[in-house]
Amino acid sequence: MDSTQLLKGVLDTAVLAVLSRGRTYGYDLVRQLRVSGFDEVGDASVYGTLRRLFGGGYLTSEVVPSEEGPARKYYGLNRAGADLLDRSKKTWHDFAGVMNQLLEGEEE
Amino acid sequence: MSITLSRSKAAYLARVAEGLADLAAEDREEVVQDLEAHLAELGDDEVETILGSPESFVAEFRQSAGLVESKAGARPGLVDRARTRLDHWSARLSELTRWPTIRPVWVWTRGWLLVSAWSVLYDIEGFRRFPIPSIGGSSLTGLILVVSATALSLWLDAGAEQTARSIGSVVLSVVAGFGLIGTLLNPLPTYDEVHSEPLYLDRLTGADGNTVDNIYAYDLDGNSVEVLLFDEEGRPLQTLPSWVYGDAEYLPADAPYDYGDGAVTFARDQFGRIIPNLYPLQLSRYDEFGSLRPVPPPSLGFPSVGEDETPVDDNPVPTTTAPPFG
Repeated sequence: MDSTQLLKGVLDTAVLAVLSRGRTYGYDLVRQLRVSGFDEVGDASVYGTLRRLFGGGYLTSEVVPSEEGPARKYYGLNRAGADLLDRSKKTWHDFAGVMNQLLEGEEE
Repeated sequence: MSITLSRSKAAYLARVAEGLADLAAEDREEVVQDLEAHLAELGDDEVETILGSPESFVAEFRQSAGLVESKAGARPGLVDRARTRLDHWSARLSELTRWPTIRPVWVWTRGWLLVSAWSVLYDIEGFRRFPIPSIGGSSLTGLILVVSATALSLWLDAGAEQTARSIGSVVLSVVAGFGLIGTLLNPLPTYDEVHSEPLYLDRLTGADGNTVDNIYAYDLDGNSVEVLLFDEEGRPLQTLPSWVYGDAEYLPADAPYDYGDGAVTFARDQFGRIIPNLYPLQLSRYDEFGSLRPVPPPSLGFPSVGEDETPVDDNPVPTTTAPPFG
């Protein structure tokens, strides 16, 4: 099946999960997602997700000057973002459990 | 700001910003700021490979962010659109000319142009004190204002995501634009100064105490002659206010310069420079209808030589041609 559609459904949670490790900026966030296996995630999708989460009040941001180029905007989780991540984890585990059971039943 | 980006990246950034022109300025600047830092991490040749075209980037961003493209009637504000268009043109011009992006240069120079605009409008002599225009006759004041205006320009640009600063930035640019136009229309003098320092008569007065604007010379036969007048040190004598000569210098040849009380047309040398001390000056005055009329020579009973006096020269040769000036 097309993993791109699946990815869109979980991108919010994936972004929150990366940010839970520590605050970071857009390019590094994309890089960490790719390293984690999200090879097909689009850079623009990540920035769109960041904007939506930030607009929803789940993220903090801070512009930090960089010696190597333009200033970078670091994003991090605030309390609301951490709570959203917890709820998303539970939803994901419940969903994955149901799917696993369903798929394992198919295999039997 | 796009100071560190290459031309192609700046162009990409400008096209994305244009695609998001319907967003509020603050929101768009947030995206642009993120993308600018992102672009700095990429090589020029991998920008579109990784990010796709600017249009596809915008489309993907909108979909992910849950943004609906604006429809007619929900257009962004005038200031937002102006900023976006200026950034776009700057990037396109940069692409065409292979110059660096113009915006940073403009941000740095518009402070100077702001002060120049003041000088051009109100103190043309101060403007000519290049590179720091003097304000109120003081170069120090001019320097302080240039530094302050440049700092203001940078501060406004750095806070472009805030609407108030954005408006201030546009206003500053418009005023500085006048300074730029004034600078172009009032080129700085490039000629070699060959006149000796003129003697400014501030101002020459007649026996009745009234100021003298013009001088008429006659030979002993009563013929009007043109003369170049100097003082004992060889300094040209000037009868009009000193600023008249400075401003008239930049007019086209034979163009009368209206200095308020009237107009004067200076004679010029072969290089087009005015001859300030060739008399009589060609003066005009306003009549009762507000029209300029040439001032005729004074009608006077010419002081001819007395009958019982012996002329110095039986055959005086009047000269109506001024000797070569300079």
